[in-house]
Amino acid sequence: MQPNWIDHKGMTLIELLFAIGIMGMVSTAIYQLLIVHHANYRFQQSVMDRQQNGRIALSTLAREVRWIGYGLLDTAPSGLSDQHSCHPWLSTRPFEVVNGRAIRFLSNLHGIHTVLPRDALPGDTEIFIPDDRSIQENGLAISRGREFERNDTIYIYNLSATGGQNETPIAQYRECHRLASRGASGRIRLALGDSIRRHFPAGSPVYVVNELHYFLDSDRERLMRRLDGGTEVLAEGVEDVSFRADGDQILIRLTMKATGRQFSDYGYPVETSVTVRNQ
Amino acid sequence: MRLRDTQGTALLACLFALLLLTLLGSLALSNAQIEMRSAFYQQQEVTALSLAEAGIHLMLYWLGHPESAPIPAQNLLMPRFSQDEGFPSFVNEKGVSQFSGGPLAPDFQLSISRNQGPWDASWTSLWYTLVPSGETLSLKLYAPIVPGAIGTLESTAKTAADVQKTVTVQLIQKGTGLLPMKGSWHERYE
Repeated sequence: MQPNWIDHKGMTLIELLFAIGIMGMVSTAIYQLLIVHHANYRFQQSVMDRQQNGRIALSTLAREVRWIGYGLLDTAPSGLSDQHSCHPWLSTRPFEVVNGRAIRFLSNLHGIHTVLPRDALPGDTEIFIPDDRSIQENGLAISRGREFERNDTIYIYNLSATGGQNETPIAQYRECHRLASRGASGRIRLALGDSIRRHFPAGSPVYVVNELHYFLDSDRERLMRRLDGGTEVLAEGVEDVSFRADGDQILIRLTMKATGRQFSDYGYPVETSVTVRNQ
Repeated sequence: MRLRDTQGTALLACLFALLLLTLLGSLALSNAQIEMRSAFYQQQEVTALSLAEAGIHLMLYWLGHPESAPIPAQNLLMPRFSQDEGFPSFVNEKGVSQFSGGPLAPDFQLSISRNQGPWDASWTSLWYTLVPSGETLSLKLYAPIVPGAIGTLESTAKTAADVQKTVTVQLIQKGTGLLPMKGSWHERYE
């Protein structure tokens, strides 16, 4: 059968131009829509990233602030004025808020501690610690030798219960030393950077104490974390950080820098309050 | 002009726009889900920590008032020594604690599970706290690390989402009261 071509005339140039024009306008509108949505999406994404970074940084910061003072056992007033302390800024509290914008504190961050299996005497340049075998055999809840690292700061305590059985054991005195060697599984001696100054009887506790410092690098808008001298970036895009100590609470407020012109005057604040148990 | 033949263009354009919006929407939804998960785990961590700390406070109370502890545990939580003045004490005259176990073989251990039910009135209130938020709470008491201290209290709480927190503290005796030793309160990183 012969096809009927009479009613299928094709498009005129005018029709084609008109169609192209309409298509162009529709495409442009869609493209504009896409650009606006994409910009909005990227803005929301950056807001979310900032807030997420802020929350993660605050979570890390709050967790470590909660550990303030762990390893700094109760000390008699005379023991606090340790002339040879590795942390001269240390006062009656194991932390210091600097101008409300930074915090510095001490904590046994990794829970590394041991006890002296024998007396440490004045002049000694090394201490003894229990070996892995005796830890295992006696079921001691203390750290193994290999957990001690070179340059770790340790506090040794001479505890005394002077008032008999009902008296709180307090540290009569404590000494701070830096380790000159790292521990190992079979090693029961740890070399010290200097010598023992006073007598510590067998059973005296030994705690590793880390110094942490959180501060704002305002030029680069970064929150910095310094652990025993090594500094790292905890969060970027930080506009402000503030610390306020109130009793056993520390209020931390972190303001992330806003993104996008329309919100340039407002940052994204996240805050938390931490209870410090060891002070 | 025969515009009737161009009717499909609008439909195509709409479908295209719809596709774009769907993509953007699904991305936003995916991000929101990640955020929700992150917030959920943070909430779980706080819950676990609070439960673990509640366990420490409960043990402190039981040690001060053994008569209110679960009946099988009452004898274990009572002081076995006596001081010069005749007051009961957890440490002998040499400062050695009555608790000598370790974390793996503690002197006292009690696990509370929300599936278990409040079988003892002493921790009914804790169980009711555990039911909506936690899964298990494990309490241990073993030898002290610090000479002269009474013992080490360990409390591990686990939430329904398997988030776990452990808090340990050294116990000291002051007069007839019991206190956590300053500088020994520790949240174990897990």
